[in-house]
Amino acid sequence: MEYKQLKSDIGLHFFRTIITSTSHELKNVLAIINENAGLLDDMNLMYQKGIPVDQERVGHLAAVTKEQVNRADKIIQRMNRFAHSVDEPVKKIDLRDALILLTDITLRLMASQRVKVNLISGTDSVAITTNPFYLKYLVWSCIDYVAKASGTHQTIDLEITKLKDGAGIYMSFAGLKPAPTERLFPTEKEKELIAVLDSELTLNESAGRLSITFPENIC
Amino acid sequence: MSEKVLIVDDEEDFLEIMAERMEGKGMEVTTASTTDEALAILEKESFDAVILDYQMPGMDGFTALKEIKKKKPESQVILLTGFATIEKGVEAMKLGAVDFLEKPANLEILTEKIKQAKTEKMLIVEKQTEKKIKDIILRHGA
Repeated sequence: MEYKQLKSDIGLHFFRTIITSTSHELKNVLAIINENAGLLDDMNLMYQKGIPVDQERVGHLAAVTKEQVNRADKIIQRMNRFAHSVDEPVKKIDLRDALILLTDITLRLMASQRVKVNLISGTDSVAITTNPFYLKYLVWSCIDYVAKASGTHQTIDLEITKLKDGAGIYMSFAGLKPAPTERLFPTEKEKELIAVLDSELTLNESAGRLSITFPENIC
Repeated sequence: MSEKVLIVDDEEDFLEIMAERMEGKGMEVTTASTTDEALAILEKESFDAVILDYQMPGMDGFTALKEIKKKKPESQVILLTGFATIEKGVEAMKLGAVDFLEKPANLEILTEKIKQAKTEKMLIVEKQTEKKIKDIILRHGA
């Protein structure tokens, strides 16, 4: 069976964005562990000079190190799961799981744009057969657009709804003010993703609503 | 006299441990976990060196660097980044950073850079003072 693929290699750009962001986060974790080790070294040198070591402080440093190791483990797990999104061009996925992974892995990217994304809890799991990587890319592109168009602190609520013949992702946010120059969205990139995913996108900027619907099965 | 340093990073654990280690080396350390907080501190205080994380939420390192230099042109800013590339390093220097170091940074090297930054800042301030005195003399006629 032939699946629809993007004509251009725009997917690589998304992949690069995620990998560079997560690797930066890992470097931050390493920096904390490195400074912890350095501080323990400093304390050891002081001890050798006869200065007593604060046991409580050593315990705290051990706890911080463990915490950072756990954090790094989670980052790597997410990175690994994300990388596996490209394994199969079409796969049955749980939409909620896909959005949890996307919001977790882009947390730092969103924070850098002062955007907070909430996945509305209580949403039932909805399974669809689609391209997992392109789906994440399209949702991320929409979040990124809203973030950049807002230009200020923005909270985006994400909701999943099961439809008769598919599923929908609904984003609500503080309405966007008219821009001095016309904003272009969806761009050619999103249009290509929409076509490949057989999805539909509607946007009401002033009302702060964006929806993307997906068929139950794109095959 | 000890070096007065401002560290700007959104990683609280990193700030806490770095500050402790630098204080252990005799430096006077102030921390800020956001660029807005750092800019507010810089309004009121002067530092020998500012250690600035390149990837801060809300404002990227280069924008923050420009803001700091606009507010306090004599500021000696050392950027810390996850991945230092030559291009980014050149751009940082063009914008007025004194150095661009990769995380995890070696504290011995960082300390050396801070000492150099302090000397550089003293020279800049001396020149500014000299200029001010000359201007006053010129205005009032020696």
